[in-house]
Amino acid sequence: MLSDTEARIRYLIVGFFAQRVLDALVRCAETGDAPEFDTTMKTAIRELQAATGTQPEDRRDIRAFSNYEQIRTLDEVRSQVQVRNMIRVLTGLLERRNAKDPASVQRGLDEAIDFFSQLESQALRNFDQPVESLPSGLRELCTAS
Amino acid sequence: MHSELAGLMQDAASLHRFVRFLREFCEERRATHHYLSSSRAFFLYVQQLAEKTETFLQRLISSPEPTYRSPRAERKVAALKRFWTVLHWLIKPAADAHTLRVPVPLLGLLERHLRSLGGFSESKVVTLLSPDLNYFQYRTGPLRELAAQVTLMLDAPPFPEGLGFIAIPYSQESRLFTNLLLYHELGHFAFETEGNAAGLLPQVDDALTAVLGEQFASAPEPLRSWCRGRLVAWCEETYADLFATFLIGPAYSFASIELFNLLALLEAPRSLRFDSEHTADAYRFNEQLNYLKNAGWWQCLGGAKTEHQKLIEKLAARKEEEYLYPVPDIPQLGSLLIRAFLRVRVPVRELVAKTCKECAADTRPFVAYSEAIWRYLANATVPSTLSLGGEAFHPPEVATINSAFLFSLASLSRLLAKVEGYDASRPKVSDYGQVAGRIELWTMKAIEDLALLSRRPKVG
Repeated sequence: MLSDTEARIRYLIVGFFAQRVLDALVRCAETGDAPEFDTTMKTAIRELQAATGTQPEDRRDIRAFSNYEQIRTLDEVRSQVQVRNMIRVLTGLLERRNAKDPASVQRGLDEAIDFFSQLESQALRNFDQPVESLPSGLRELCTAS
Repeated sequence: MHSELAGLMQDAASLHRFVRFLREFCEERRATHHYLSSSRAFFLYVQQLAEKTETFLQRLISSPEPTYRSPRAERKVAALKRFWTVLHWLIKPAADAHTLRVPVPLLGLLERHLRSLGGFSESKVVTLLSPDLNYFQYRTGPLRELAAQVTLMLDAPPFPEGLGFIAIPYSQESRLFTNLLLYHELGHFAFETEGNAAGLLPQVDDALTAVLGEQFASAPEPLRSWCRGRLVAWCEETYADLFATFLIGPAYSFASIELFNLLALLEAPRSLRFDSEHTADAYRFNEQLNYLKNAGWWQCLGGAKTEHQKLIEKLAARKEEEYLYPVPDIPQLGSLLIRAFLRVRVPVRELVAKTCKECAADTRPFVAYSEAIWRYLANATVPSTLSLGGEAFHPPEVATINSAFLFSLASLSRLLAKVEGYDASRPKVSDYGQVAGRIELWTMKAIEDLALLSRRPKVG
């Protein structure tokens, strides 16, 4: 079993990652922009892509979703389909300056703030009460062999 | 004060007190105890981070910044509290491990070994004294990543470069032989530092696809990541074992037997069982023995086998088909994952060989000096300077450790026979224990001497 301390550290990394993204989103929602907004969103997109298996082969710079405990934390908050939707929302926010409908930018920000707030809370909950659980679908893995 | 701010103030003040205590604790320990430079670097980092945290908490209360307002500010305090809880876990065991409580000569040898490997010249290892009866290494990658996130938030100094954490059970603080297991923990540190987990992923994915088929290739990411996690963890364990065996030779396998015996891990079916993070002990000894035979070590150990050698051979001889990894309700999955894992062990062996080949323990000094070392120990003499054919020689540390360990396992009676009042017909456990402890002390002293003397290969 992964040591309790290591599992907790992994959850907490997700918590801090979510906070960093939230800081940029909140500031943008209140002031119309935020320093390093684009960089933060690009990082968030890469991390979420890694968590849904759509990121390129090299995973060396993946930090927040580099292992099962972290990906499970995300899975506890939103389904894989919803995470893919969030990737689209964040990609849309990168294009906010060209957006024809400012209200859609605000909706995107609100949606993303809600997403990362829930992720942050779940990560801190898992830190407080780490549980070892198996992913669903393990049984089906054995059917091919 | 507004009630929201009052709540935040209470939270921030509570964290402030906690952090200040830890800062003062580190200051006090650094001033009153002697530590290795790695521990001093860690304490200094904690102190600097504490100062930055205290400043940040004040800013959180007084800044008009939108991201510093409640409830965002409260969430930041909540995350910081947890981060400091993590440091709290490390600080006390690190503070307990001052130089009077740890095997300094062995740790010196360990660090010299580490620095002699390519890419580890700046590495330092903080020793922790743990209440657990086991050795372990804190993966610094996640800790470093966590610290990096905190650094961004607090504008604090970065986590010290090349710092690792290794824990020793407090009951083993003065031992030499069981503490050779630290080499395994050093192997974990090397595996992580080299980024081998990410490097092995293509082979791990190929092995899983080969065994589980398309079901794995098309599985959702949480499932794939769980399977990968098992194989990578087992690869890392294999790497750490082989790393230790490369650097310190059979003494590492003997040390493993000592500890596993104490923990009653060596009886089947326990010795055949993998768990989610560790390989089965039978598999571990199979890998070690395989290397020791290929490197010529096993053949050098002499004709009459010790109980440790017999046990290693017995465990290593278990068939791969007997290995188990019980996954609740899915009995066949464990054996499939083990089958996939066994396909990746060759790349792991190659990685260890690449890292350690320049520093692999050499059998030749062992062959040349072991008889003399035994003679010195049998006469209760520290074997750091050996007189051979009228000339004085300093045996290398690894040859000294292996010779002394083997002496302790095979020939303790030679020394006991010289103890005044010892009656061989009525052996006493306490006598054996005491004399075995002495062998470790003399060997530790030899390592300390050799750290100085080995700069000159020959004296006289």
